[in-house]
Amino acid sequence: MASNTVSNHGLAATLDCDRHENTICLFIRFTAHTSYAVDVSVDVSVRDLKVAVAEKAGLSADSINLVLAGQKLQDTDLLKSYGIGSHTVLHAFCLTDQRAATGDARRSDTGVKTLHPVSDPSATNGRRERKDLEITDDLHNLHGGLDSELGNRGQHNLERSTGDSTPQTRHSPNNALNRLQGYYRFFVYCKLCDGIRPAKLRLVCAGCGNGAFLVDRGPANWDDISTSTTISGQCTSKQCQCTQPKFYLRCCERHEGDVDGTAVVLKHINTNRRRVECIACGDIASHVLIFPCGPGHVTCLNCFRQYSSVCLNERRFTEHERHGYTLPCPAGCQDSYIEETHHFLLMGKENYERYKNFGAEEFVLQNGGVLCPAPGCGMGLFPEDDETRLVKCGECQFESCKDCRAEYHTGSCGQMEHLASSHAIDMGITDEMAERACWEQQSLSLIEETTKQCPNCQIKTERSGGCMHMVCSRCECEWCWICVQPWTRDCMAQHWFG
Amino acid sequence: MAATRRLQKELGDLLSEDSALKKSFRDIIVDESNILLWRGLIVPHMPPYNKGAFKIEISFPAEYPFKPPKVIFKTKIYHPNIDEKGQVCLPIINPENWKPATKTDQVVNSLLALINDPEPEHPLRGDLAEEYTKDRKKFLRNAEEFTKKFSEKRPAD
Repeated sequence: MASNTVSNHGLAATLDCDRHENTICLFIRFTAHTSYAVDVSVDVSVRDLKVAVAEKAGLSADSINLVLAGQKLQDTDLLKSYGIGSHTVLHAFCLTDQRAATGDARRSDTGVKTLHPVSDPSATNGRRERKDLEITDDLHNLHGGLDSELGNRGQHNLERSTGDSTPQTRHSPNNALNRLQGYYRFFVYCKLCDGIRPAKLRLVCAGCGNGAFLVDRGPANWDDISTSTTISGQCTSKQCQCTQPKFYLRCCERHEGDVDGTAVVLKHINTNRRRVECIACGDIASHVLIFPCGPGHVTCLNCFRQYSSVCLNERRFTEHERHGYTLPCPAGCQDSYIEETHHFLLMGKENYERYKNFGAEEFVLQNGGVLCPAPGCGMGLFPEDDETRLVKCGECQFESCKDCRAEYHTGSCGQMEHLASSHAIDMGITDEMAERACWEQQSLSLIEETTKQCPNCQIKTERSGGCMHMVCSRCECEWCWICVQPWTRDCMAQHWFG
Repeated sequence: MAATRRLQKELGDLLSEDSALKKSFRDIIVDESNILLWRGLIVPHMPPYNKGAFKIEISFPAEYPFKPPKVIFKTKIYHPNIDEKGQVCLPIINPENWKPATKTDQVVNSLLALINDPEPEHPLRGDLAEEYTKDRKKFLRNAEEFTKKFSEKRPAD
């Protein structure tokens, strides 16, 4: 028995389970430290699996109960009917626990569907397909019921059609998104895969973390899987009295050493079952991002990537009270902001880093702060509201003027009378320093030549083309490039295009 | 990528027999090697511009449809909202108003509406706007004369 017991951490690496298309490797977990790896065909029943587990664990098959995502697997069902893929972890507990047995009885009262036994696995195709469909719908209730909420809100009716309800469990790592198309309802950004992946909704006991936790009903909306869920259930652990499940989503890919890794859900991404055209390119993509606006406008993931990258470059994101630094629907609908900022990870890691910096800067500016103007610093500073214009950066110690955002100076702004120049008297100036000073001077004069300051927020602005009508990308002030004053009708009539 | 696919579709729609614009926006030429630049002929149906036709160029940025296209007149036109360089200010393609869902036929429609119905309150040429507001007859006479002199030949049909 010891040879069959593998530790939690080495599970994935120990076995090569993809020998046959229909053979999958399942991990049956009794406790955090006791798991069994079992190779089975997807065509066998749950009962057959229990017999195999019983043999390995030295238990009676009748005493074993298997749990997937809060629901008990029924003996007569075929494994494939649950859409179980290879390397799935099934939680197990033994029926000797009286509490679990009563919990089981209660659940059959609540109307969990019991299917008629299919004794002959080679039954007619038609019959098998029908059975698959029924059970898939059960799973839909369990895993994908969240869509009903979307349907109720009239946003995007995603009810299942017969054509796409057949789960495809073949493993093809190159196309993880298209795998199981029409079956997965949840998508996450998986840091380990560095991309969007279909996700599995799983749950554990909120008290002890035991995966063999049975829920009274499947989730029906996002609130049901939040930390304030109203779904209750029962932990099968003898020591635990907890009735609260904790839902989480994990990448559908197998990750060695991180088999229970949770990932943040991208709630706006869905499989394009209704075959809706992308609002931007007009293509019908397999996966789409659905904006939370009234009509539920849709973009394909490539166009969303491009839309957010273009908006990032132009700093057109908005700091939203509840949702953070975000974007609305590209059609300009009201109340259409992306509600979970991790969607912007689609822009790629580099752009996401810029996105985070811009977001932090925007937050500082909107809350009355300033950014340290020293090159390469940009630290957010909140100057005390007093008489002095001096702002000292706590990070790089650079001293700047609050009004003109240049290096701190005495006298009025614009005279470039640097305080620093008075220090120069005591310093020996080397050639190297002199050269650097020239360079900085050149750089400064280049900035002076090519930019003008927004008359409202003083940000140095470069005009790269177009008309003289400037709209500040920071404070949205409309100003005239020629007058360097707020835009007027005279500017429009006299020198709109210069 | 998105730009190319989308523009191919839009171009197909505009070139089709069903296009509502087939009489007023025609002779559309797009170089196969560069789908981002369209040339075409605007054929207005209202006086004083219905005595001629006007070549325009529509250039699309690589980031289209997330950035708006630009429209420029290649034929001289006597119009308060179009300057001597052929530049025109169309609110629908202003970066602040631009919506990626806006299609080029809407842009052309909006351009036709502006040509037929000048907006002297947002002029690019103050002198013409003043003439248009203060002496409409003189404006129409000048515009018609200018159109006959400088514009392109109207297609026969």
